[in-house]
Amino acid sequence: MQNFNLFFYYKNRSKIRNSYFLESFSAKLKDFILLHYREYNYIWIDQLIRIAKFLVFSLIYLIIILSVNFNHDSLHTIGYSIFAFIGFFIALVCLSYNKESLKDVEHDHYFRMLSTNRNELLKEIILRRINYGFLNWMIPMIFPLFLFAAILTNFYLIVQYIVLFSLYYLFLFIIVFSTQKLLFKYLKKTVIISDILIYVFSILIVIFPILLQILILVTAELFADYTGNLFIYTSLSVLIIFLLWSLKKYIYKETFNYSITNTLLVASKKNYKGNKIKEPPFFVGMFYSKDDFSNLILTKDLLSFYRKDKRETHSLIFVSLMSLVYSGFLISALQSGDPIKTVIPIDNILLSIIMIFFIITHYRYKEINWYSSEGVNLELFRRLKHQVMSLYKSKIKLNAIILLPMILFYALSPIFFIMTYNDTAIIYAFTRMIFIITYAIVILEYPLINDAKKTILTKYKDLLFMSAGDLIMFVFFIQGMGLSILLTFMTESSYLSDYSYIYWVFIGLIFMVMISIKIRFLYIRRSFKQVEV
Amino acid sequence: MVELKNVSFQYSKDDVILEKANMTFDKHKITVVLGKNGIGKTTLLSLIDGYLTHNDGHIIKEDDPIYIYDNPYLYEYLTGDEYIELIKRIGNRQMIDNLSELIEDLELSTSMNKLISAYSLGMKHKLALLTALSLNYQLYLIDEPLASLDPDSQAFMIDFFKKMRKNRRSLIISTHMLNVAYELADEIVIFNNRKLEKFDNSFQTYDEFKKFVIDSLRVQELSKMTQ
Repeated sequence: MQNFNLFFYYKNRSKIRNSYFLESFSAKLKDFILLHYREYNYIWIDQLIRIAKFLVFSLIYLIIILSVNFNHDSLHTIGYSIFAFIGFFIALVCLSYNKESLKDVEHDHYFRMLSTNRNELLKEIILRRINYGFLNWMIPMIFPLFLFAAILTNFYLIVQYIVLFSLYYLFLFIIVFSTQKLLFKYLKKTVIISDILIYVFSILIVIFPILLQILILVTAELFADYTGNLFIYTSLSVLIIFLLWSLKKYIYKETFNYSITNTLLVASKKNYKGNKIKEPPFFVGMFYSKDDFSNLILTKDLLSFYRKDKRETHSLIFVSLMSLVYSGFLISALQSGDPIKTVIPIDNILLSIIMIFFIITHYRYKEINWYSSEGVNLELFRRLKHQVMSLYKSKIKLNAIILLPMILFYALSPIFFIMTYNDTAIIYAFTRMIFIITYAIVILEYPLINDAKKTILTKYKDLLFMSAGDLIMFVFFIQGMGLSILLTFMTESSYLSDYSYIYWVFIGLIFMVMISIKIRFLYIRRSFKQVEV
Repeated sequence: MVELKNVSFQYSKDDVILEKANMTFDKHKITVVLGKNGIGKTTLLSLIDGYLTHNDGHIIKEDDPIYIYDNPYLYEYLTGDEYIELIKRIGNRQMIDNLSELIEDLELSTSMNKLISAYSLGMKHKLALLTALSLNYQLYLIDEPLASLDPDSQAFMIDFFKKMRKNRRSLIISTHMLNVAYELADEIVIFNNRKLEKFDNSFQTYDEFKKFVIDSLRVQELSKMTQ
């Protein structure tokens, strides 16, 4: 079997170069790692980074848990919701990359040179993608939380969590590989079948934690005593894991019995009906302004985004819906009569996670969605030089259309707080709503204006305020931890007005920071206009 | 007409491309720029286009140029049809009347409703040429126009460039293909040693032309070494 070590070494090296996690610590640290990142040691360095990530998240969760005196049972709810969110995100990324990144592989020189071993490389790419998603995100971000939850509440939950992770991994593996097989097998005959199955699989991942909960409940119903319950649950889980493991081996062996290159070429030769620039789809037309140039660029970008990866677009819709599901957690917490002080930390942790995904997604799309992505294009470039603001505005609009729904569903969910008939909850909800929307709009523009500024005004080399990584940490600490720690200073009262003093000062301060950033944006935009003149 | 008066340009102190260069590119003619790899032919075209700004001197242009890059940047997820439509509307220009004939002649008609990402390199180059040619400019700056085209398309493009000259268009072409330069050029510009030197293409045979070009480049290289 061919050794693809060098191929993955270079792929991982570029990942290190773009790592926000490392950048958030120090750019020098990243340079240092890159300097010592070699073919013979890269696997070890990758492992070290994973361990560091695990420890950092453990520390963050520990500080939150120690600083906030809320019911520890809530940790499980938070854990499950983060699990569902990240699990779903990883699955969708794996699924959405399946087809598209293989298309890129087709142009890769290394892939072309491989001749008969191409299928093996593709298998390895998909396998590593699943493993990386699992090791780099799933375990470091969620397992520490589950671990603390189990330590603080019930140790037997450790078994449940290990089962959860193992099942998730196997399930994801089978879904991704079988989807790949279906994609290639049926591509020439009918794409609809494989597409429908992909979405069924995607939805299954969302309800996966729920299915496990049902399994736990069923065993609990059947066996009232603790030992019997644990025994049956573990036995059933081991059986399921064994079955999935066998299926995994079979699917891995059976995938890619096709001429991959031919199939990829067939996929790319598809004919498109109509000229969508001349007659834009209704959805695109909804966002048009009076500026024709801006409208054209927006149409081009939305079409390219959708066509580049349809599943990527759908994954965004799913992620947006997930934030709606999160709102459900909040509402149920309020309805079950949890004091507002318990609800606020849960809310902020969920919001931090959404914000982090929001920023990461923003950066992931920079090759398509940012100002600098335009490059040099014949006639277009000539116009861009004169219509800087038009282009900038169209990029803002594009990113808002694609990314904001992810946040807005969650931001608007407090409307349901009215159902609680609790004044404090309603005040909190509406403050939060305005706050999050301001926050989202500022964060949406932050990387865009930084990028446009660097592209247009080449003489300015300074950063806007902070690096991308720092921004992520800022969001996490201020939104998630900052508010949570603050809550420890609050009294035990269930009325917000009783401890509003510090809370409102804090909210006011962040709001002021956001407004000042927005004012700075306006000044920078003015410098774009000067270039235009 | 394009006139360069004492134009200097450098990327850095160690990387000087032009030093007080003077040149006049005549109207309604095909001028071919010849020079070694990395000498700065693309930079020269970029300076004329206005994409790069010269450090010193003046560049006077009678007409607004359009620049066709050797490695065109195209929107991969638009179809050929959509791409032309986008550029036409962004440029706000009238297209040429015989666009469909041009598409036919370049054998692109079956590919116009496919995504550009599915095009081969040659097809991408054809589309970039097609788009630029359809926009009806007076002055065309073209970098390696035929490098990735098949023989049929090369022959067609050579004829097409000649037709453009007949229709009073001006073309400044940069290429390494001496046979193409010989066939197309009214004038050749030898770019060497940070200077530009112009000659009429009045050579009787291709061999004579080829010998002249190679010798000029070599002589200038030798003179540079002895300096």
